[in-house]
Amino acid sequence: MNPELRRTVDFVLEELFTNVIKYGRASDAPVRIDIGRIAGGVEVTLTDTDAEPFDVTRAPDANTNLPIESRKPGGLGIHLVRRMVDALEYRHSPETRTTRISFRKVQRPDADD
Amino acid sequence: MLTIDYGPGGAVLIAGRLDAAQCPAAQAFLDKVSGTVRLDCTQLEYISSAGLGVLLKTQKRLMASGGKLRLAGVSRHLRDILQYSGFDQIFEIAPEK
Repeated sequence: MNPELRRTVDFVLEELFTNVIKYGRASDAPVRIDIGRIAGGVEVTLTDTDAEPFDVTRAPDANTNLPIESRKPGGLGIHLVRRMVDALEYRHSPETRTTRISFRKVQRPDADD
Repeated sequence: MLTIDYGPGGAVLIAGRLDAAQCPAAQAFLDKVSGTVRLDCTQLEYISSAGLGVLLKTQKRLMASGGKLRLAGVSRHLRDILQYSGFDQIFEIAPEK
């Protein structure tokens, strides 16, 4: 995987995984991560089999125009994820309590590192 | 893995991965710096939103006493993240050489 693509996948996975842990139920259910190749990039899916519903595609954006006095650490993860991926999908089944979050990222044609 | 320490010329050199697991160590170091500090990010391979929080907290503290963090050696990865988060308006970023 191209290093730039790998960094993006790394970033998005960390943010989504942290989110799943931070806002999920404190259960022992494992979170599964599947990474597959697509044309020019990758598709990644996180599956949590004991999750509260939280649609990452609809979470409000952070207000990035605030002056520094009004900004607080935190709340940027999902905001950044949405800007860094090419597609983001969220599915939740209340019956099985299973959440699947998928994202796709294609390598930038001008990636130079 | 993350290392953070003073380099030659008084800049703070940060190298490796500033992810959620490494934030406490980075914050502990940056809590001790004062004045206007050049943070050389040339060898910073990766930063997460938790790492951005460390930079923001440090910037707020330094600015309260008339100092600031100046970011140098900013990679494209870091530059994109700073821009998407609006941090390019909060931090002075040295232009690419």
